[in-house]
Amino acid sequence: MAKINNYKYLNLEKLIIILSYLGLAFLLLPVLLVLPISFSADQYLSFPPSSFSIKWYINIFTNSDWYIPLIRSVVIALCVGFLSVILGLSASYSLLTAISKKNTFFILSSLLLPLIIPTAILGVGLIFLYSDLKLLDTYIGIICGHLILALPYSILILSTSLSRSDLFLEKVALVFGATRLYSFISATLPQIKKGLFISFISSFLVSFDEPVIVLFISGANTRTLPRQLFDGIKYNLDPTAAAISGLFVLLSIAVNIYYISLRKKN
Amino acid sequence: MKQKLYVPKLLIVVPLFFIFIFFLWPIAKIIHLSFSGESAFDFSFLVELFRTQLYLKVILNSFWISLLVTIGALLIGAPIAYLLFNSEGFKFRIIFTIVTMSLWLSILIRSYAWTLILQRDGLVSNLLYNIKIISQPESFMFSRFAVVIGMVHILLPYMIFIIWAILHADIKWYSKVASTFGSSKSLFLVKVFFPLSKNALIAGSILIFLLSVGFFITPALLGGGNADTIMISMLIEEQVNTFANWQMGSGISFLLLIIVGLITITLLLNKKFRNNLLTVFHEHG
Repeated sequence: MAKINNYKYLNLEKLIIILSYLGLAFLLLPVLLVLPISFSADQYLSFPPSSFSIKWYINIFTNSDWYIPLIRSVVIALCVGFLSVILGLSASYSLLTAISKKNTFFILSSLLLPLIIPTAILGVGLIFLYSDLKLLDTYIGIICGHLILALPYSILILSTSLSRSDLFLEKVALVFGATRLYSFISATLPQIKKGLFISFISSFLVSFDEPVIVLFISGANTRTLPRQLFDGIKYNLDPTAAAISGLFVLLSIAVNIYYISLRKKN
Repeated sequence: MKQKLYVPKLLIVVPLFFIFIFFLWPIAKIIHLSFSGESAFDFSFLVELFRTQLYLKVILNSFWISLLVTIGALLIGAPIAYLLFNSEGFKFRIIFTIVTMSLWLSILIRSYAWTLILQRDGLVSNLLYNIKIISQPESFMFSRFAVVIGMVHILLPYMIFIIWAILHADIKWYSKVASTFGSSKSLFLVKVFFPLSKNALIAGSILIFLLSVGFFITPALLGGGNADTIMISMLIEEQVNTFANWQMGSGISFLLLIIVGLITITLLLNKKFRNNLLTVFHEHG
């Protein structure tokens, strides 16, 4: 076999590895930067902060400009999460068990379309729809709007979950005399527990963090946290925005550390 | 083999009905509205669109910025996807978690982080001022550069996951083949791995470009809507919310829809990508 002169390739892999670690730093560091700034005592945020305080964090919970949208967003997101799991489960289950392959392609495409259609377009469309249905600036309107965005995630996650579970057990349950519904609940539902949880969390987060649709269809009565945050960031007058960001970064880090340590035990 | 269990048709009808009313019907309305002026099927909005300099600029901006973002995401994301592909155990979990955490962190918060970095008195400005590169604090916001960096940061996790997922679907025998090449991993990279991963990189790029074109939040916050940075979605929002010009807003939305539609068709034309997508359903069907 001819001798391969691979000196010119020697460092290629090393270069790629270095680039990848730089890339990870690029991904992580800006987010971590929010933390020291959020503890700044200045009215106008700069880096590094001249003095420290937690007053902006306190402001989140004492200023009604912030805690009311916060509560609203939590409630709306809980509804969206719940409905998304139900509708998503319903759709995935029937797609997996009762729809022909040909139909699956078309039905799935329409159900997953919201993932690639720019949200602003949906916002415009919903304005037209809601002005006819009188749903502008209503909770139902926002919940339905968010549900459209969250449903594809639910369907994808639950489909994967269901395809990995054994649906044969339902047949077994039926043989033993269970009703159709109960056989599903007892045989399949426990198997997809993890999928249900993840799709709930995903749908919750999609709704909780949704800033575009609310720009179109929400008003003074339904001002959500992202809506408030968007103004706070755009006009850069309220450092509470930094505190909210810091809060979520901290929460996110905590959850992820917990998750990693959980897996490590196994 | 399909299970012969009774599954009520209602289970698929309700979600479909919901999507029809709250998604398909609104979009149909948009398309209809773009064409109705004083008379039916009035193409006046199209004429105005191409006659006005501003609207052409917006479309060009969107394409150019999306292109830059796609290239940036590719250059930074592909190495990370490669690292992920080659890691196992604890290392894998850490990297995976970093990417996932970025994905799930609010887009507003991530855009805000860049505001804090790029603004006058932000991290970059103070850093450059302190080491005397610039004579006074400067703002790097409201520029194409800011928008591109912000969007790359937001879209990077998507790029990484898409590339990694498709790599996983296509190249399962990496370690086995690598060993036959002995210690020359880099040689393997160039001769075998890169050609095979082309598919993943192309699919990832097209998808990221597609997502970039319709972006709203990050360009709005980091770009401010000046002539260099205004993008299609921002124009739509302005027409509808500020000027209440529903017809123009619909017209531009329709245009954006066509652009997105064309790009999606390019993606779906790739048979491999279609198969990857439907694998889950094929397995069970």
